[in-house]
Amino acid sequence: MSVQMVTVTIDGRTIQVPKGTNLVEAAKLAGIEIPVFCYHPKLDPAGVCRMCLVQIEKIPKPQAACVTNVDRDGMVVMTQTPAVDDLRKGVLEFLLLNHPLDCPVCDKGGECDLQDLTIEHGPAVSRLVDPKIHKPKSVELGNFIVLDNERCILCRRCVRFDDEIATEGNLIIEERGHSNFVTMMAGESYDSYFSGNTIELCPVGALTSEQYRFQARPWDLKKVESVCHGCSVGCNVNEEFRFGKLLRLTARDNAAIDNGWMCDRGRFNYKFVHEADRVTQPLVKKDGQFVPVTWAEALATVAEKFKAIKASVGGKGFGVIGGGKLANEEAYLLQKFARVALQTNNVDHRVSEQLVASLAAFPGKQTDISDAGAILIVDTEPAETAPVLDLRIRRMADRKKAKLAVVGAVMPAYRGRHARVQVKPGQTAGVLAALAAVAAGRQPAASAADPVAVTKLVELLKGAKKVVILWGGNDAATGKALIDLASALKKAAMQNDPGRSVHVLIPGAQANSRGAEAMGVLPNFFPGYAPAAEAKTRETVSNLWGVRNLVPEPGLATGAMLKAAADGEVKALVLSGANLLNTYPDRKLVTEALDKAFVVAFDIFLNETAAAADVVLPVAAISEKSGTYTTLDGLVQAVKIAKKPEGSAQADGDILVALASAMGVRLAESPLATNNEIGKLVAKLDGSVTLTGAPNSLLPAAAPASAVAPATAVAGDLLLVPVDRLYAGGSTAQFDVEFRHAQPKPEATFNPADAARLGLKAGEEIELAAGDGFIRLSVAVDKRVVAGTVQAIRGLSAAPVNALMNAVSGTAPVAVTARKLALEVAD
Amino acid sequence: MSHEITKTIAIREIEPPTWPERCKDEVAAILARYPEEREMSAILPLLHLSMRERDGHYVAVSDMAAIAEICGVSTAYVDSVCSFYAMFHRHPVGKYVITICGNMGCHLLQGGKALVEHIQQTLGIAGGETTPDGLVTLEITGECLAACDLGPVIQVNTEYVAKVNAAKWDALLDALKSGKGPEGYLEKLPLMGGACQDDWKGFPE
Amino acid sequence: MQFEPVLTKGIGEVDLTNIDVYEAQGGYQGLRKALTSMEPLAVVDEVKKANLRGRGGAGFPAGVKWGFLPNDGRARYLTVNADESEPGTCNNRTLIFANPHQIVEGIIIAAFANRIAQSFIYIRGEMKRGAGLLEKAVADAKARGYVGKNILGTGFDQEITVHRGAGAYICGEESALLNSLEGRRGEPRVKPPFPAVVGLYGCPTIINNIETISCIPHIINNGWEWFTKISANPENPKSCGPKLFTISGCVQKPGNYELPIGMSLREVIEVAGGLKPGRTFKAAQPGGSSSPLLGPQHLDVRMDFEGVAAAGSMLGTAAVMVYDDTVDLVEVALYWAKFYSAESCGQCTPCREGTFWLERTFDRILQGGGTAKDVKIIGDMRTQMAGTTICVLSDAAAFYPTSLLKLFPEELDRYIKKLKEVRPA
Repeated sequence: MSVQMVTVTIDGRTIQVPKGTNLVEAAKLAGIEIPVFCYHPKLDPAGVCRMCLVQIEKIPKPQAACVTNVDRDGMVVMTQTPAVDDLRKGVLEFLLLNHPLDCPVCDKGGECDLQDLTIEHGPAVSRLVDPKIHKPKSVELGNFIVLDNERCILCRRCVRFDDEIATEGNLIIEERGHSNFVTMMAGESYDSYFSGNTIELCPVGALTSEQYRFQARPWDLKKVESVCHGCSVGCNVNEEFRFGKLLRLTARDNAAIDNGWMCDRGRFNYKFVHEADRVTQPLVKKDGQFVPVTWAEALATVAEKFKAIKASVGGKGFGVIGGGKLANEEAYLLQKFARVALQTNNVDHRVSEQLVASLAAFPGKQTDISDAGAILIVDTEPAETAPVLDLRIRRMADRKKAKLAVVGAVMPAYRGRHARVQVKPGQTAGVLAALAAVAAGRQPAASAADPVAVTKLVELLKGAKKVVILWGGNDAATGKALIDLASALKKAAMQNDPGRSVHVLIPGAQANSRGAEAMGVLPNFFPGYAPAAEAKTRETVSNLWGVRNLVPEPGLATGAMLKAAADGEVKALVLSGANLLNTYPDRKLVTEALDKAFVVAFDIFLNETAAAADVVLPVAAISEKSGTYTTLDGLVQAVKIAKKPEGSAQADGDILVALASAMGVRLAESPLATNNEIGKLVAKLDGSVTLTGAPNSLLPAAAPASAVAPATAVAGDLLLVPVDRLYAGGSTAQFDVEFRHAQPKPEATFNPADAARLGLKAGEEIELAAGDGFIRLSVAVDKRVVAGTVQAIRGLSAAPVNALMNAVSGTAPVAVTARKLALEVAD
Repeated sequence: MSHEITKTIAIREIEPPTWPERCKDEVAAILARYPEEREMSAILPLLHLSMRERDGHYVAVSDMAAIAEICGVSTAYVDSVCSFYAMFHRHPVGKYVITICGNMGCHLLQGGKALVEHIQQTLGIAGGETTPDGLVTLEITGECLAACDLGPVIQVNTEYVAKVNAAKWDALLDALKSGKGPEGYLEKLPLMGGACQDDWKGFPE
Repeated sequence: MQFEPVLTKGIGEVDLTNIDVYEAQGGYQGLRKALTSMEPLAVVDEVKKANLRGRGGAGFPAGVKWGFLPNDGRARYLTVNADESEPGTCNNRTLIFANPHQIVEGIIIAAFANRIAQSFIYIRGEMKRGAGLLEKAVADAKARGYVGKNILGTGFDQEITVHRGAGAYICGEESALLNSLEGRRGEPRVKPPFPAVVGLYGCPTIINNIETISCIPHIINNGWEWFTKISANPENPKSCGPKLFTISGCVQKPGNYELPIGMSLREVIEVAGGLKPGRTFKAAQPGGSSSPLLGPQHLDVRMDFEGVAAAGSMLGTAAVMVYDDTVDLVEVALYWAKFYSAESCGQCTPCREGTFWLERTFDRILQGGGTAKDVKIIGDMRTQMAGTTICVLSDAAAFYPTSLLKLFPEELDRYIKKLKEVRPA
């Protein structure tokens, strides 16, 4: 579709712009700046601040440039006449009438649009002789935001953001006229995952960061371009430092990824970098107590132990788990360390239920969501695992641009009506198999979904030019059925219209899951998804690495490694940023494995898993090392070191090289050599590359999709649905003293019918139990929970839901019982 | 003149309101007045309805939540809409809301100023307040009540009382206090040329 | 000239809220004629030729407005503006309360002319009784087959919904009215797009005032020529038809009067009994609080759209407020300032801040704290507030004070120079 161009003359400069361009943007193209407050290129123009008034030939009244589109040829616009100057001066005088002049203590000072535009256009003096209006100040609007209603100029950027972009509609204007307030509903807190964006959107100092307030002047900050490591979206950010201290993170617009937005976890969960609780020295456990030691001693201790194990049982005595938080290069070194230094294929980045982080057969970009015709969300809540990506879905739902369908035991909420197939845990695969069958023109087997709903859903998906499927990547049977469905859709699409496409996006369980996967942190694949079982793979890699004795047999996956460790077969475990007690879906097994094996933990905090290790090696945190990271859609983005690591912490890659060296193995000549190796085995990681995804064979064999509802062991039991919450997590979220207050409370959420049947009231303390495991939670009730299931949050150290799960059944549904806690009566 | 602007905090009720169930048919009838998928249009009528149904005739947060649910918007959105309109009370009001036209015509030119003072004196409250017995809430509105032919005009629960003077007010207040109600004082049908019911009683009830 | 009331015929004599009474007076004949004997376009044409100017204030020709509706398959809506709240205006109230069937009939004809299936009447919240009367009129008309499906067997369908506002002057602005009707805050919309193209629910929408709609049955019944001949000022063919005037303030008989358009201001004041004995005329606002002042030099101005505009003001809602020599025009200014400050929606900076600034300024001036600087500030509002915002509330708020400065500078001067006893704080 070609864009029609029209001619416009602005201040005597005649240019061509796409028809419909608003005058603020058109002026930019002509190199002319029209001052604005309420206008923001990412938001719908509101035309309320009236700062952008300009004169247009043949129109008697001045017009607001932001809401005036160039929709005809020959528009003549004047932005620099005495009349326009007066209008700007007038608007600024109005805005400054009641604006407090507390610029000396205002965070925004130096980057404030009101200051800047007043210098350029404003009146030098105020003519107000009456007292200024007083409104509430220092209002704690939410977890991270402080609002000053007096500074607010009511441009509504924040309110519009919350409505148009976050599509939550909780930040509102109350009252009218000069009594207008930006506010939340009485008694509510602005706890949107995206609240921090309003700070950057605010053209004045009305919305400020609780964390950054009064910490610095913007001109004192050193800005370093970086990438957020909070999740696999890979939002582009600026890390801003003062005297080497990370003081704030701001968004850096990348249209392919974040579109200029950040989530609050990414923005506000950074102070852990400087936290006093960080491990800043190597720790070795002696007589059950950690003792700080030198790096030399720590590495010698580990090397000696490893050499002894290697000598006695060989490579099968080792297990290496984690690496999904590492940079690509470090992840590469981690698997190379396992394969070369430890002589084992027992290496796996997967620390949770997630099995795959990508599917090469259906590659997709985050931007594919933004022009999709249909979006299918399977067993995942993107807002919790890939929040900024979720903004794209929200937009499509809000503007009714794409048809939305949700299948699973969790039901993410979007504006408007959309297709929903709500099932119990374990039933998703059956539903997808039925969808796949219908899509392929076959008779579907019975599933938990109503056959009419299945037919309608397939019609919905087939009716779209572009289908994007989002999946949690958690269950092999679901994965197989999903591949069948996507294949059938693709085939059907190809027949009707070759331009149609199907894309699968899997938000990674860890920030760089996809990178770790591609770098071969897998028991059965070498870098670049080269199958470990193939002799050719080993030959190529052996030659490149200059080693001869690569282990031929595939290694163990995480669960099998832990089982082997618990059984005493794996003698030593290397954990790279892997807080397994918090994340792995069998807490009991992890505990047994940690008990038995010699454990070396690479971590920044003494979390529950690191605390159970024998040696803890302090590693560099965000901003403390260089490397590249891979987004969930395969984009590789580089990050440069911006500050020195705290204490004697080191980058993971450097530690691995040093440890190998202590064992007498040369792991890497230089970073350049490592990059060259990756270039040969995977791809040159230079920022313009998109990595290919995982082959279907990465999904383990699974039992065929079960059609019927899994039975609960005892009548009255409920099936457990572990759910993701953005602020949960046992490491950076829990150890950040300025963030952890936002962590969710441990709650078990019931369907109202189940709550009534079990006599449970919201807020009551209960115990959920399965087998030997039990956790304490308080009751919540929500009708979005499927009857017969109970939802509990993953990754809360206070109530680890993985205590109820066991790896023997893998990710199969777990039946739990809910017990009210008896009141403890004091004597 | 006050330069302090404070926020009106809506009242939170724990219990959900009973009107959505009690007035089910009326709610359905309201929704039916608007095209499909335009439930938002029902927000104003439902705010009127919920205010009528609640003791104290105000809108509580739980009412807003119920309306939000019916109309498919956030509760905060309903609150934002509610706060825009002067007739939606977010705190309990008296049995009779007496609104005096405080606009120029009635107030400055037709004797309203003296009347307001008289009314405040007889009620013992100022504008914006409610009598301790909960009988009357007094509002002095700057918005013209569109009855400049009948000034000074007041409204008793949205019903006009025309050409009010001290004597007429006293009689009306007696009727309210005695439980007789305002019926006899209400203006039924407008006339031309500034005539009011006191001048002409030609219409049947 | 002899003038028989058209729109208010029978008011004060019979009960027109009764459908039988209304029909006995010739009611619903226009509807019959239009629906059974005319093509929709012929109805539009008739109204166009009648030169029916919008009675809500702007005076835009209704027939021309109808012609703006795009024909693109979207649903179309008719919305009738019964949010009468312009200070000094109460003529719509009379039409709503006393002659609701005339409105219903007018709506059906207008909807038929524009092929509209659903109409809304947006009535201000305070007129609850009026809303009830309109609802009853719609129900009674429905029972007679004038509203609903297949009206008079013509296949034309029409539903009419009465929608109550809830106390906001700005909802009388047509796009704010649409927002309010859609369940939003009553904030005016940026124009363009105009409601005729993107109106209610994003669809083409006609918005007509109650009085405009009330004229329709009579134009259809009596023909456009009849309508154009109703005028007290035949020299100006651009304004014609019967017009309700609300005459208030310092006159002997304030009230609503139906008059032919085009009488002089002097005559209009006489209709309302003239000034009180011994008083002299000082000023008048011809079209509600939003219209600039007229002075004694304007007494012979013709009260039609063009005549009043030529005198620097506007006919507006034809709410004539008369001020005699006892009235302090600065005090009036404070009333208006307070009113606009309270009723500004608050979206646009100049209106939100300017209205309250004016209120504070006049308040201070009246308390004796005015200075020459205030005069300059008030004067500046003509360019700083008027014409700079989404809707014209800001203009309206600036009109009175700036016209006060222009026509009656001595009124403010007395305060500034402390020649006048100031009111207590």
